[in-house]
Amino acid sequence: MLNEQDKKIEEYLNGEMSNDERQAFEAAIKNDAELAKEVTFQKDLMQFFEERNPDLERKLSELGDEFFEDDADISSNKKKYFNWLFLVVGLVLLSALGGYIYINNLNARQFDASSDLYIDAEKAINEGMEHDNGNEDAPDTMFEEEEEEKQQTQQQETEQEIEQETTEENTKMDSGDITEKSPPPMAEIDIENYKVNPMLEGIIRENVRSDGNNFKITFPRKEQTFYSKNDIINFRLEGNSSIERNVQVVLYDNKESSFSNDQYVLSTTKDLKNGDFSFSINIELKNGLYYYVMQEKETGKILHVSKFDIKKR
Amino acid sequence: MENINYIKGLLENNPKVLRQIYTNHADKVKNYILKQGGSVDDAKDIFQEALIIIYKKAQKADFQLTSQFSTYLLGICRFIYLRKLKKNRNNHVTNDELEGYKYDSNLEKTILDNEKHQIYESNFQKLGQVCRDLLELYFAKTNMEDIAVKLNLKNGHTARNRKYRCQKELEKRIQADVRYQELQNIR
Repeated sequence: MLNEQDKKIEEYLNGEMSNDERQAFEAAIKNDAELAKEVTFQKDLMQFFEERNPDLERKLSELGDEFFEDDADISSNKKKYFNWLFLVVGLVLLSALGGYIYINNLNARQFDASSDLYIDAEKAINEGMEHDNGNEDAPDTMFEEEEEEKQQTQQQETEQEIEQETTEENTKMDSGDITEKSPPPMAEIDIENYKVNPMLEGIIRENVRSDGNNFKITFPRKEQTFYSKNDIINFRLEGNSSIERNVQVVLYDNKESSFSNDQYVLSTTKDLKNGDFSFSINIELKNGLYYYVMQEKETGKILHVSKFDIKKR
Repeated sequence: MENINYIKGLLENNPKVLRQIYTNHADKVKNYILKQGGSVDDAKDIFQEALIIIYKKAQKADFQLTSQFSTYLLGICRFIYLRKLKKNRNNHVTNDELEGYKYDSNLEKTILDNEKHQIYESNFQKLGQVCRDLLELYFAKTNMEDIAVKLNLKNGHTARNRKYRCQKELEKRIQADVRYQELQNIR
């Protein structure tokens, strides 16, 4: 049977009470924990029914089954097999690369440290695979590229990845000895490093539109190019903020995967006072296009996204 | 603009746009969750949960997308995953780590509400057909007389009594649900 209390709760939640009735009922809620609990529950239930969307849930669930195939059973063996295969192929290519670097760059450090590279290469290759997850065919491309030149191009890219990782692992400022003394031998690699990242380009546009004027970057200028004689770049940020805040600065290279996997070149936080700010950091950067994202640490709100590029003289 | 299309499509449950969202973003989230040690099933659930949360937030009048859709989606997925870790492994994830991914102050509340609603939903599904129809119609603001006609009940009065019993049944089930009790303790 519908009792008096439930009827009242219903009227209250539906806004069907007069002012006096409502005030009396709210006073009753304050004094009666059981009643308060009941009202909260019915309110939750109401919200639940208002917000639930079985049609959307069903559609998402179907898509989920389609796009998130649980391929653990099938692929775990396959994956192991591929990992070994990659390792072997990788090692062969690495030896070739070692020789290549030796001849071309007279910089045989990587070759000497091949035992370190062994681990890093495995890691890099595994990560490459992870990135290709869900696309079973992807690993085959390794074998399709038969011309030696192409293999070297790819290896050069792996080398860059390794270098990036190493840079990240040794605290980012470390100038180290992992420098690339001569420009990459092939022009297309250079172009790769300057390609725009469509994902970040989207944010740059979004940012311009949505951010208010309580935060501004005055340096670097929009799409500035830095010319440098050596590998260490003095990355300087200047601007002003109208309020005190803790800002996180994250620097990414131009690869789309770097941003989506959060593999940054640099990540640091700064306490900004109200007014102008200027800070700089020495960092080893190769030729290429870079993006930096400035976020308010506390809220995650994106304050500024911009890009610059580095050209070595 | 792509961002607005995604939000609009989500609000309209547009199958074409929903498929686009999965095509363009599912792999990224899957890779992230796998890298963090989660399973493909975790990734599937988290992805769906994140989209439901965006859907719910987008319904609010003050909703504003301050970053690109993909960033927002991945951020919410990260947040949900870290929360799950925290729940399962008893505070292995510090609050600090969660803070970094807080996109707005209401996000955590929306996520908690959504967890609660998932518990409501599974218990709601255990009710009989008449009860489910009745409650759905009632909360869609159908009046009792119309409900009686639709569900072949004697009259509005019968419908009201029936609704009351169904609601009590649902309430009893939810409050007996262990997951619900756990959630109440978190708050």
